[in-house]
Amino acid sequence: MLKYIMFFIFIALVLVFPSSAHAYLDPGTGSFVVQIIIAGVAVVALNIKIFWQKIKKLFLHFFKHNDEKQE
Amino acid sequence: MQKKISSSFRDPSGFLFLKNKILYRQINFFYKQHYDYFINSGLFKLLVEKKLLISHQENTLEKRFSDEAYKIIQPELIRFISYPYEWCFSQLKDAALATLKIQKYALEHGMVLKDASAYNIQFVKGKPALIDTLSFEIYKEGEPWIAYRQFCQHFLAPLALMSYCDLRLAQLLRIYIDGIPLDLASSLLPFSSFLNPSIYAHIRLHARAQNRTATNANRSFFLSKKGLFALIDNLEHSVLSLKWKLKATEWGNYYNQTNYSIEAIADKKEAIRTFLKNINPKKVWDIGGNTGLFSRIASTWGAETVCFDVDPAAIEKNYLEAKASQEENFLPLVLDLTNPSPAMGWANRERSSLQERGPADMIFALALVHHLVITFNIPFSDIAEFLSNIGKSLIVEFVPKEDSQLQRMLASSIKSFPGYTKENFENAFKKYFLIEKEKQIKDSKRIIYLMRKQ
Repeated sequence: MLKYIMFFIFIALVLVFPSSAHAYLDPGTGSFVVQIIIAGVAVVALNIKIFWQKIKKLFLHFFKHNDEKQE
Repeated sequence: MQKKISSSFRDPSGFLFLKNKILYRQINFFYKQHYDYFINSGLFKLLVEKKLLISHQENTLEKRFSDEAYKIIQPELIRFISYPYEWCFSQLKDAALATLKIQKYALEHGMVLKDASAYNIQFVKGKPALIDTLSFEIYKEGEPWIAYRQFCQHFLAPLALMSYCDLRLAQLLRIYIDGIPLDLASSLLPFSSFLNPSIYAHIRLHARAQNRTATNANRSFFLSKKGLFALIDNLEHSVLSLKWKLKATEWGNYYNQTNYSIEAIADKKEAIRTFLKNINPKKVWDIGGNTGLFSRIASTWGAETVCFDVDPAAIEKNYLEAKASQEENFLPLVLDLTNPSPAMGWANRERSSLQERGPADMIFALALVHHLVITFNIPFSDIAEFLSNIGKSLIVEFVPKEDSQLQRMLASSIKSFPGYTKENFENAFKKYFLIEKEKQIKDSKRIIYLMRKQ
């Protein structure tokens, strides 16, 4: 699941990433840009995962709480 | 007598040199700050404990090579230097994972790998370890990983090519000394490989970005430490996602390849054991060793053994076995004996040829000579000369024409090889070796010899 989330964010980022040009980059610069994008996507995906787990936990906690009340 | 080692000239931080046959590394003043941090932060100790880095002893400055010396260290000796183009898929994969693990530990200690060259990794007691103590520098928050591209070129691209296209594409590493160019890898990889988002990003997009231009080439780049950790994690997942497997049925063929009965195999093994005791070698090279059935006699006996074979699948199987049973003095490597690894790199001196890394105390050439003569048309005398150049003694097997496997090989060959006789074989080898022992293998027509270089 995380893999797909990452992939979609990634494609979205690639689309917005500017490709306009005036001067040639040294080969290292391209690598810097790419790793920053990938790292950005990975961090966003990680945050979504953590956020999702929190929500899941909250719901579980809520239902569990209700169950206990019914008992 | 002192001499610089020609593989370590690029880095201004220091270099390796030989003095009175002992290997030292000079660390220059240029690298002082980073070296001190490396030792004081505890990173050096941790990596050595984890067996991810070779250890070293600090020596006196009297041993220095030049006045730029800040420290002189004596690194742990590597028994056999191997190169990425000689590794099988899993060896390269394990080396990649070791590099990333080292990078993570470094980051946790406030340092970073400034290079991620596959040549800095060697198999030490069966495990991949970094051999370049000067690969670390102090991490500055916000800096992108300078060795990211090198990592992709040295590890990720060849692994992806082996996994998605063909194992033999690892040989591209022999042509491109700084790893496979990403645009080349990108154009060779099939479309299906790019459905793996990580491969798409680290190889295809990366290759495109290198050719792309930007509005401001001088702009600064910022990558947070969290982001850098996420990048390393992602690279780790990408490497782990790449797999190579032979079908179960094909593995079976490797067991059934030999032309021996159970009795003959046992007798051949016994002969090898006896010959080993006669010579008492420290270093053994088994050339054409396949999955290592006979090389392991030498390694379990206690010799440092390297097992070479042309078939990367056999070496893969061999390595996985060695890894599972934690064999420390056994190293399987891919090598085409008819075109062995040459000396290459700058001035042909950066990477040594096979011969330069020898001679071994003993060579195993078992069920090999007939292949070289009949399939590759190499005369007996040339084979004997080559073997005498790479080893001090030799266990060699002669397969006579009456052998059923040889009969099959001859049936498919146009030539009849009238000169392929036991007498001619012995005469050719006698020019370079003394024949010490000769033994007919039981329940077989084959003969096994022990020879010592003259």
